[in-house]
Order: sequence, then C-alpha cells, then structure tokens
Amino acid sequence: MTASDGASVLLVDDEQDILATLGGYLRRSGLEVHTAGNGAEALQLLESQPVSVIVSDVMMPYLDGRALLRTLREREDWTPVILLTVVGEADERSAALDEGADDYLNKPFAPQELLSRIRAVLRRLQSATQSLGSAQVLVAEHAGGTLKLDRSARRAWNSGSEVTLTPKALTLLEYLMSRPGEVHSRERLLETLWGFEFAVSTRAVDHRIAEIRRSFGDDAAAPTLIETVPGHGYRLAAQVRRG
Amino acid sequence: MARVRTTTDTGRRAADGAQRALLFALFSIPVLALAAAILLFFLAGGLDLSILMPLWLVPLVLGAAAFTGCALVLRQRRSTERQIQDLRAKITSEGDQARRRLLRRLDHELKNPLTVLQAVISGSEDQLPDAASWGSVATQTRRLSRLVGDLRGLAELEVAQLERVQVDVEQLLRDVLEDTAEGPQGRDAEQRRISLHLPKAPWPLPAIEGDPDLLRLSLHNLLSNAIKYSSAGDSIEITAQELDGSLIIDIADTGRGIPEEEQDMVLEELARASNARDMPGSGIGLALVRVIVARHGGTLILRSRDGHGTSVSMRLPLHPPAAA
Repeated sequence: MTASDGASVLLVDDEQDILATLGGYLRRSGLEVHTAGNGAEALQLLESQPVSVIVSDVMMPYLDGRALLRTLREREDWTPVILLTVVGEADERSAALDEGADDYLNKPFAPQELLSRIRAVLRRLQSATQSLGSAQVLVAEHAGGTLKLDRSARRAWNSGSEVTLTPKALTLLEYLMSRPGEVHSRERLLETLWGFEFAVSTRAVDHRIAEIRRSFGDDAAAPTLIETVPGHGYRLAAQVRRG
Repeated sequence: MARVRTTTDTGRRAADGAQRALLFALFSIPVLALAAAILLFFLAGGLDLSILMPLWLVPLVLGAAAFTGCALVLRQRRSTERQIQDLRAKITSEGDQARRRLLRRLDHELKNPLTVLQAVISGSEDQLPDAASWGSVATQTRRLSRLVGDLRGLAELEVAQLERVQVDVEQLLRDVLEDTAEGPQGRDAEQRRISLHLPKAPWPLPAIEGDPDLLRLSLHNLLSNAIKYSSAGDSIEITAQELDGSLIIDIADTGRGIPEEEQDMVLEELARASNARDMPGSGIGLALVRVIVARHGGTLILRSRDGHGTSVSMRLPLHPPAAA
C-alpha cells in the first residue's frame, strides 16, 4: 500500500493532449484523476469534488495557475498544489509563503517524476510534517544545537545566536526543512530552487550544503542535520517542528 | 507605434530648441562680461581706445566670436547625434541578424528529432513500432528535452535575481579545477598541461561581488571548452589579475582555435564553430558565459587563431553596479 492508493488528483492544463496522456498515466498508477482546462474550471470542479492534490500549469486562459493557487489560499483551502512553472519564477519559489505551492516542476518532465512528487506530497499530508508547509518558524534539533528558521524574515539562529547564510543557502535550508526525511537529488534541487539544471552545475548544491553544515556545526562525516544519501542526494535528517 | 514615435520626435525637437537657446544664453554671459570688463578698464584708465579699434567695434567683434563658437558647438552636436543614430541602426540590424541566425539554428536543432518522430509514427499506423524505433523515439525525445531545458536555463539566467556576495576568486578557480578533475572530463584534463597563475604581489586577488554559483558555472564552461577543443599534450593557462577596479580572468589553450569569421558568432545561443562539429555539444555553453558575465556588469573577450588556440577573458567589475 503506497501513499497514493485511492488518492485523487486534479490535473489543470489548457492542453487537451497533456490532460489525456498525463491523466492516463496517473490513472494507471492507481490515482483517481479529475481534469480541468483552466483555473476557473478547476475552482468550479473543486466545489463539488474535493481532491487530495492539485497539479496545475501556470499559463492558462481565464484563470492561470498562480491566480488559482492564490484564490484557493484566500479561501483557506490548503489542498497541496504542484505548479508546473514557467521561466523567471525560481526566485519567488520560497518567498511567498501565503501563496506558496507545495512543489514545482518544469515542463518537459518525465511522468514518473510527477508521480514521485505527487507521492511525496501525499506522504507529507499523512505524516506529522503536513503542517510544516505553512509554518512561519521551523525548528530542528541536531547535535550542533537547535536550529531556528524564520521563513518570512529570512533569518536563522543556532541555539539562540544568529547565523548568516547566503540567500541561496537559506532557500535550500528552508526547502529541506519543510520536507524533512525526503531524499532530494541534486538535479531536482537545482531545477526547483535555482531554476536551471546544467550538467556541470550540480556542484553548486554541494557547496551550499557545505555552507549550511559549516554554519551550524554539522559534521559532514557524521551529520545529524543534513545527510548525504550516496548516489541520490540530500535529506534533512533532524526532526523538524513548528516553532 | 507610429504615433508614439511622432510624439516622441516632437517632444525631442522642443527639448532641443530649449537646449539651444540655453546654450546661446550661457555662451553670451562670459562674452558680455568680458566686453564690459574691457570697456570699464579702458574708460577708467582714460586711454585712447582707438589705438586698438574704435570702441563701437568691440562688442561687434566679441559678438561675432561668440556666434562662431555657438555655431561650431551646434555643428559638432549635430554630427555626434547623427553618429549615434547610425550606431543605433547598426545595433538594431545586428540584433535582427542574430535573431534570424538563432531561428535558423533552432530550425536545424528541431527538424532532425521531429523527422525521426514523424517517421516512427507514420510507420506505426497499422502496427506497433519495433524496439529499435522506440529506442530512436526515446533518444530524440531526450534530445528535444535537453534543448528546451538549455534554452529555459539560459532564459532563466537572463532574468533571475543574482546573489551578491563576496566571492573569493582564487578559491573559485581551485574549486573549478577540482570539479573538472573529478568530473567526466577528468581523464582528458590529466592529459593537458593545465597551469594556474595567480598574483601574490603587490597583493593577492581581491574578492569580487557576485553570484558564486553562476561565476563557477561560467568558469567551468570555459575550462571545459579549453579541454574539449585541445588534445593530449596541449597547454591550458588560467590567469587572473586586478586592473582598474576590474578583475580579469583569462583561460587560454593551445587547442584547435576558432576560424576568424566565426569568432563573434560562437558567443550566440546554439552556435557552434564549423570545426567543432566532431565534438558533442549544444552550443549553449559560451552563450551562458556571455549572459552571466553581462549580468555581472562585465565583458567577455574572445581571441582565437584557427589551428593555434583560443583565449577567453572575463572582465568583471569588482563592485558591479546595482542594476547590472
């Protein structure tokens, strides 16, 4: 039994062929799939048919993906949303908490990638980490102290004393802390947080992880904050709670 | 569009007229003052002015000199304006040409994969495609995805907010060398004579303000090209120096070089030199470097000689302007 068994997903895209092929793939993977051609249709459908997760394109007629997300959050509807983003939005990804999506994916993507992200979001929903996405302050206990992160102030502390991080390292830390226990590949982190993924640029992630470890006194050889998963990527190893 | 331009032109003409009047007024002030001073000097001194010239001629001569001065200034200005207009037209036409070249390259990059996909689809109307055809579909789909990913990355870099932190260039260069040695080009790198010359005197390299990830990416691309387009035994020299508030990082190789007529073009998106087609590549690497350097307020200088080698220099301001 996986997290996605019996779960329902609403796929929003103005391209019929995408709805048909991607919808078919997700259905065959055991999800209940609903589709909508734009944000307005999606809102209408959601009134009679709540779903576990929404996957929405950004550029659509009538009501685009960002407006859909904003409208949902204004209505206090916290259904997880995975946005299929467009160029130039990487910087906004961590900034807007109130209208933040739960995950981001760039087209074109392999359908397996979308499925694995849907499953990750659903797992987060079922576990205690579900509330972390909307938390203002995140706290993690590790061997080097207590890490506190204020997301909208974009400041971090370790056992009470403030730690200065580069903006990218802070974004990375925030992304990992709101998804504890999940393994993220370097490529995925780059694509999501940097907005591009060139074969030679994956080292950028390693450097920022090293910066975070150094700043919080996390021993790379025996980390208790961020763990390296050989051949896969990184995982936030510490327990995270709302602050 | 046309109306906007007319409004702008009228506005500019009015502004020019006002400027001209101001220029004339400004020019007259010192002339009149000088004339008055001379007049007072001679009147007070009680000298006979007719030794030099009749008194009534003084303002006339000075006025003529001022008039000539104004006319010269205005003529110079008109000629400068004309030069600017010509330059603007040239830039627009070069931009158009670059855009057309990009479209041609895009057409080239898209048509082969699409031809394969169409062939497989047409051959599969009555039966499922065989394993080999599916393999081709998978390969070409990956190729198209990579192309879109590269173009998207480039577009993202043009608009992304740059991080501005102090970057230790020496450390950055050492990281890039280490990453390359450990990466897929490690074996080739071992066969090149790579040297790194960094100044110790009069003082070591200062830190520069910029985005470390993007600077690392651009230096990596330059080094990767130097390795790719040179052979075993070739030299690659990496040097860096501080000059007039800028940092110049140069990566030079004794590789195959770039034909002279293609040297401007290789900095464009998807462009590849005619003597580079035997090597795999997307033609995006140097375009990325160009965008990253420009975003840091710097310039990229490429010097190359076909058959002899290539040097690419990044000139980066130590403190880039905020809007760069």
